[in-house]
Amino acid sequence: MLKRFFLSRKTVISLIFLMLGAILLGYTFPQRFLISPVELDKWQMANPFLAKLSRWFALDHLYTSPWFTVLLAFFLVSLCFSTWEQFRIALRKTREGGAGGESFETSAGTAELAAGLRSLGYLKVGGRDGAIRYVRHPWGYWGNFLLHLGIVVTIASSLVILLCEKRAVVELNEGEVHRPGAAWAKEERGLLAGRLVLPEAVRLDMVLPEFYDNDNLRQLNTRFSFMDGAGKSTSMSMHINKSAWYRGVRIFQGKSHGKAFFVMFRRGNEEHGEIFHLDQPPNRRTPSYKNFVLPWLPGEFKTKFYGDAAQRSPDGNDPLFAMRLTDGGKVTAELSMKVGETGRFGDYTAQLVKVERWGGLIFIDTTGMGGIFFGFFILCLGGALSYLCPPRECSLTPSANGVRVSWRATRFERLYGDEFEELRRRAGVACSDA
Amino acid sequence: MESYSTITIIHWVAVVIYVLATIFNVSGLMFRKERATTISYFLVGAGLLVHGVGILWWWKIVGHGPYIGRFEALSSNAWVGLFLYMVIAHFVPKIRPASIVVFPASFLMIAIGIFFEPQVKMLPPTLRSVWLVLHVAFYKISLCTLLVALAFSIFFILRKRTGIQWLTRLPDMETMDILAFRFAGFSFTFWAIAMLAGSIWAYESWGRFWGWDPIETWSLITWVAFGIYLHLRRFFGLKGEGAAYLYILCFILSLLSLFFTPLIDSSVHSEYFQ
Repeated sequence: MLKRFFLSRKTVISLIFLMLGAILLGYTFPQRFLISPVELDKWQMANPFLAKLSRWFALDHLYTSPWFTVLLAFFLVSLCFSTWEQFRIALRKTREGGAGGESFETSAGTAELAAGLRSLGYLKVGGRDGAIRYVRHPWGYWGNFLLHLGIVVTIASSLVILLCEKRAVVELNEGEVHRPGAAWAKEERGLLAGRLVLPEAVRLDMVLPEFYDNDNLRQLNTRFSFMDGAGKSTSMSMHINKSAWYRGVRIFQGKSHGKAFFVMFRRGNEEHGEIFHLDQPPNRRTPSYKNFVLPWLPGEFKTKFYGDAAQRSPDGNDPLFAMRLTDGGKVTAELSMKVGETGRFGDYTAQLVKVERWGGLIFIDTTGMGGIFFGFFILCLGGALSYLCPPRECSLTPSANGVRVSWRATRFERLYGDEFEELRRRAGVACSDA
Repeated sequence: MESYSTITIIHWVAVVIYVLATIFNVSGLMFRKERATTISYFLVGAGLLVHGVGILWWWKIVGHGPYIGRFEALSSNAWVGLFLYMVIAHFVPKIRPASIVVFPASFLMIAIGIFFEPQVKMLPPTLRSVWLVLHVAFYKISLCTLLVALAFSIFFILRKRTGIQWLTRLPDMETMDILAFRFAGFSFTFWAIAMLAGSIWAYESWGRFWGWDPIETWSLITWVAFGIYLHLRRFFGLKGEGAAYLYILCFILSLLSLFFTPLIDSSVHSEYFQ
């Protein structure tokens, strides 16, 4: 009963439509993991009714919502039944072939016909009740099964990843160390996964961006070291599209990089040391902007920096850092500095003490990734077999007048009529006898 | 700058050759003039040569394959589509009438690309991967098979709905229906391979095989839509006019995914087609 339900064509097509609908909903409603909390709040304020719907049905984290998990589980169960069914069909067809098709009788000998079939790419796959079976592309029987199996493996592997993946991002200044167990800048965990704890402390040694003449980023290289408790360090390097691997953790180049500006603010005996991390500017003439909240300084605190004060390079040795304090839209303090310079910033004296590069490292501890790609590969293979290699069957059965040749194509038969005519020609039967 | 204008001129020359090829081809098919059809194939061969030189020259100028800017993406789509179509048509003569759709679609793509003007875009480091090349190449191949299936779906509807005489010279209704079905199946497969290559590329670049990025999402929606089309045809006996209309809907979806979503949303594909 259950099997019949899951194998029912209506169930299968309904589930595919529901999956399509779910993906469309996921595209229409902003997803928490894709946009910032501020942007999400803004959207909710602008669309109160949709926001209500989003909260009720967990549409803001659709792919991790309980109803989507149930839908996915149903889809997977249905697919598993279908895959098993396709396996049985493929096995049966491989062993016995199908029914129907066209046939003719010829006085040509079996050996002669067999040689003709072989030259047309037909393979002998067995025989039954005195008939010998030949099939062109017998592997094509397995196309549908592989197509289904590929989807099952891909979905099952993505579920494993969804449950077990540990992923974390850390942003460090050059020379800074991240110790095992320390807080991450960003962390994502599967439902069954614990915290990602690095096997050893990691130190960012160097961030080395390379640029084209038009200031576009050419490559981003990072050197870093793992350091064990005994002080022994293992140096590693990576860049975009070249990850590193260390004791079960894969390390990817982070997307962001830039400069950290160390600024000392002084007013009488009062001192505040601040570090401002800003992204790399898009080019030498356009600065990078970022706003910060300083608890000891009322007003809106804005910063920007140019990669090179003289704007000769997107990433010079002499960057220009600028700060601005506004209160109700009115500028109350403003200062631009190069490294080592000091200036007045409202009531404070500010000094740009030093500038360091910062970069991001992505750490991933996951299993199942191979399954995703393998599943996808099987799926593609299944699709290719299904549509590129539909099997054509031919059986030779001894008859009173010689041999009866039966032929059929399992799919797209109309496209292979020429092949049947070729068989007839080789068998010495005139086409008009059909 | 001189190189840009030369590249543009080469592309316009290719467009003119393709337009001439289309005129010969359509008249050959409509009026059963074998000679005109043969001339059209020679013209397309010449066009591919000129067009190919233009693409290679552009490749040399920008230092990367034609897969980022709108001009280069559309131009290379047209070249790959036409070249592949000619190869398939050589081995499967039944699909030759599809040239009525494939030829004009190709010169339209080039012309639209020229209107966007050639712009040099440097290759970002994330796009420097062999998986990206495969990812893009299979979408281009898929576009060719999509166009062939579109041609037969349109022919089917026109022949059924109108009394246009020359349409009777095309393959019979059932054959056209099957050709549309089969080429939609090829598209489904090549689209899947393109997504597979894309997911490997994404994993190599960002450690994620899938990020629900808008372009990824629309690509998946298109693929599922084609899955529904194929499923309905295979297991629900959908065929004929209904299948043709559903295919046209899926084709429109694929165009949205390939060319319009990169313009609407920002994404990890933001370097593509901007």
